[in-house]
Amino acid sequence: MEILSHLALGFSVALSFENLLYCMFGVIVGTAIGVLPGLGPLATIAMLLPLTYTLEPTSALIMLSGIYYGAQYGGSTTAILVNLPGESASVVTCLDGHKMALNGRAGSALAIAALGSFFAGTVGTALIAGFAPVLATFAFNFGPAEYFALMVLGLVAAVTLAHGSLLKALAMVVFGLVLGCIGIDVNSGVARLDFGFLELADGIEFVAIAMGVFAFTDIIVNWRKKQQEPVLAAKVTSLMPSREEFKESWPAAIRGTALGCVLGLLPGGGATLSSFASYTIEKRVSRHPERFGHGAPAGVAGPESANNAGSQSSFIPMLTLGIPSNGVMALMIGAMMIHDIVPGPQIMTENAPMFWGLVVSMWIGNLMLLVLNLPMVGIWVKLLRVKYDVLAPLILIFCLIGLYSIHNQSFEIYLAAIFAVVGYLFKRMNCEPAPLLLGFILGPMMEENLRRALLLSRGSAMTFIERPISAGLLVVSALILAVVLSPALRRKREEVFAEEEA
Amino acid sequence: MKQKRGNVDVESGVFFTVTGLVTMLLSIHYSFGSAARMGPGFFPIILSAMLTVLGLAILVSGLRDRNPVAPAPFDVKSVVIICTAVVLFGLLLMRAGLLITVPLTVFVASFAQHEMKWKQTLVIALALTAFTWLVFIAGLDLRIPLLPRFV
Repeated sequence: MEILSHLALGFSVALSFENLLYCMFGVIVGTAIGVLPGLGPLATIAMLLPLTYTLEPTSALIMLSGIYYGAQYGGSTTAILVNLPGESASVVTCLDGHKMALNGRAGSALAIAALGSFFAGTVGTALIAGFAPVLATFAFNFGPAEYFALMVLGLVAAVTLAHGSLLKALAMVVFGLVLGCIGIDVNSGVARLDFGFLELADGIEFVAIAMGVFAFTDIIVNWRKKQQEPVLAAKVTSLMPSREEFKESWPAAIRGTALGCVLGLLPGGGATLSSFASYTIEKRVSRHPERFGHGAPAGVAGPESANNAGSQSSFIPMLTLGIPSNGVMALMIGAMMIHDIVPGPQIMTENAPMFWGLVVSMWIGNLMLLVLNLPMVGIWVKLLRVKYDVLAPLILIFCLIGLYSIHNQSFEIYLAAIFAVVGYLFKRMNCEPAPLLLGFILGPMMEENLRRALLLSRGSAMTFIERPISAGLLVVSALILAVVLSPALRRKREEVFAEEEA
Repeated sequence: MKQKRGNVDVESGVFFTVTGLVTMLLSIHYSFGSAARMGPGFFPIILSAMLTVLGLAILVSGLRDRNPVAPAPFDVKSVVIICTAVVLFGLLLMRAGLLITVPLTVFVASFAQHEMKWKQTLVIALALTAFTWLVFIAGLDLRIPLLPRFV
C-alpha cells in the first residue's frame, strides 16, 4: 500500500516536536480569531505571513493552515453563545445554535458543532490524502489550454457563488484581472499600467490589497459604531447531547461533510459557502422544517460540518493544480512561493515530506481543536470581553508592520491605504470583494496560459475546443453561466440568498 | 415615499465604466500583437473592453430599476482618519522609529471610534508599543528602527 508509506512519512514529519508546536500555535490563534468577531482568517494569515519568512516552509504551512480550519471551530462558539458570527462561515450557526443555547442546550450545541467539525475534518483530510495524488496524476496531462479553461471555470463558479448581483460580481472579477496586469509583462519587458512607479514592477502586492480591502475597510466601517457588551445566552452546563439530538445530528453531519468536501473543491467555494448551502439543504430534507430557526440540532450539525469539510478540501486544488480557490489559499501559495516551492502536480514528488506532513498535521490539528474547544470553552468565551477599541489598533498596527516588512519599505502601506478607500467604496456599492481577489490572483496565470496556448496553436482559438478536457471545462462554464443568467433561476437564486441573509 | 439618495447600481456602473475606459486609454500604447504572438497590450485591452461593457450594463440596469437601493452615507470622517493613520505610519516608521510611530498612529486612528477615550487610548497605545517591540524587534528581529535616526 503506497498510501500507508506516504502517511507514515507524513506522521514522521507532523509529529516532530517543532511541527507539533507550530500546529498547536496555529489552531490556538485560529480558535481565538474565530471566536473574536471582526477578525477573520484572511486578515490574520496576511498579518502573520511576514513572521513565517524565517520558518521552515513545512512548519509555516502547518501553522497557517491551522489558523484557517481552527477559525471554523472558534466561530461556532461565538455564534452559539452570543448570537454573533465570530467568523463569516458561522453566520448560519447563529440561527439554530443560539436558539438551542436559549433553550438551555448550549453545551449540547457546542458539542454537536465540535464533533461535527471533527468528523468533517477527518473525512476532509482523508479526501486530500486519497484524492490529491489522483488529481495530480491527471493534472500532468494538462497543457496551457486546459489550465486556461480551468481558470475560466473557476472564475465563473466564483461569480455564480458570490452574493448579490451577478453583473457586479463579474465586473469585480474583471477588475481583479485588470489589477493583475499591473507590472512588467514577462514576455516583452514592458512595464504596464504602473503609473511610473518602479515599486509596481513586480505587480501589486497581494497582501496590500487583502489588508486594505478586508482589514482596513472593516476598521473604517466598524470602529465608529457604539459598542455593546456581548450578552452570554446561558451557562454551559452539560456537554452531552441527548439521544434525540444525537440521532437528528449525525445524518446532517454526514450530509454537511459531503457537501463541504465538494463545494470546497470549487474555486470561490470554501468554508462560508459550504455552511450556507448545507443549512438550506438541511431545511429542505428535514421532516420538521418548521423547527429550523427554533433550535434544530441538524441546523447546527450540518453547517458546522460543512464549513470545516469545505475549509479542508479547498486545499486540494491549491496543492495539486496551483489554483487557489479563495483568498486564504492564495495567501498559502504566497507563503510557499516565498520558500521557492511552486504548488502544482509536481509537489507530491518534489516536496513529498512537506505535502504529507501538512496533510497529517491537519488531522492532528483537528484532534487538538476538539480538545481545545470542548473542555476549555469557558476560556475562549472570556476572549469576548476584549473590546473592539483594543482589537482595532492591534489589527491596524500588526497589518502595518506586516506590510512594511514585505519589502522593508513603506510603498505597500500606501497601496493598502488606497485599497482601504476602494474597499469602502465597494462596501457602499454592495460589491463583494472576494471575486476581485480571485481575479487578481488568477490574472497573471490566465494571461500566461492563454499566451502559450495560442502560441502553440498558431493563433487559432479553436485549440480550446479541439482539446477534449479544455472543451469540457469551457462547456461546463458556459452551462453554469447560461443557467444562472436565465430569468427563472435568477429569481430562485435571489430567493436563496435572501433566505440566507434573513 | 422614501427620499432618493443615489443608487448603488448607477454608482458602481459608473465606477466600472470609468475604470474600464481609463485602463483602455492607458493600454492602447502597448503593442496589441496578434493572437499567435500576444503583445503586452492584448490582455489588458480585452479586459478593459469587457469591464467597460459590464460597467455600462450595470449602469443601465441601475437606471431602469424603479426601486433602487441607496448606498450607505459616505462616512468621510472615518475614512480620512484611518487613511491618515495608515499613511502617517508609512511616513514615520523609517524616520522616527517604532517607539514613536506606533503610539502616534494608535492615537490618530482612535479618533475613528465612537467617542474618543483618551485614557483608554493611552493605555492601549503604550501596551501595544511594548508588545510590538517584544514580538517584532526583540523576538523576530525584523529590520525596523526602534528610535529616531538622530538619537
